[in-house]
Amino acid sequence: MMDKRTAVVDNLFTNSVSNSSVLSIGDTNYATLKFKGIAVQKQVPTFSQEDEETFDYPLFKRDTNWPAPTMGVRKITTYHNRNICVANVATIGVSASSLLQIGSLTKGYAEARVKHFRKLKGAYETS
Amino acid sequence: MYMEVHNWGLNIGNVRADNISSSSILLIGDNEELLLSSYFDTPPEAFTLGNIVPLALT
Repeated sequence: MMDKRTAVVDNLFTNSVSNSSVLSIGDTNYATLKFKGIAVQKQVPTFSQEDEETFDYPLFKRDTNWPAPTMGVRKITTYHNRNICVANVATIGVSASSLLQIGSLTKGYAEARVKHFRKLKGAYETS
Repeated sequence: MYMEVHNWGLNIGNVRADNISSSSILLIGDNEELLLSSYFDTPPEAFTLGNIVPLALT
């Protein structure tokens, strides 16, 4: 198993942890993060029933192309000092299925998919 | 590849991140394997704002 160091953080300030995000203090073995988002930008920012969106777009159906695993690296680690010391950690927001991890994380998989819409006025005047 | 790491301690003063969002990870600690992937799909109008200037003339 991976030999782990200890993370020592004196001050941690986070304003908000929202939208299925995690602030994890301590060791984590396995983390999978997934985020699907649709960003609608309108020239006239009045949103109504017709701007309602669903997630059945091909972008969200494609399977994830994880980067190919590189060749095995034989690593020998000697710990003369087992501490990772951080004096201050300050974040305004941890949002959209993100992870703020104080401590070790053995395996982490994170995936984000965002589809953007820009609705210009008069460009698509449907009857 | 053969890699030998000697850890003599790691001391960081301040870490300040405005926003950690869309499946991002701020990790203070060890890690063995980390895979991150992201997709985004911009509307056609996004391309009319001018071409993408190459950063360096290689």
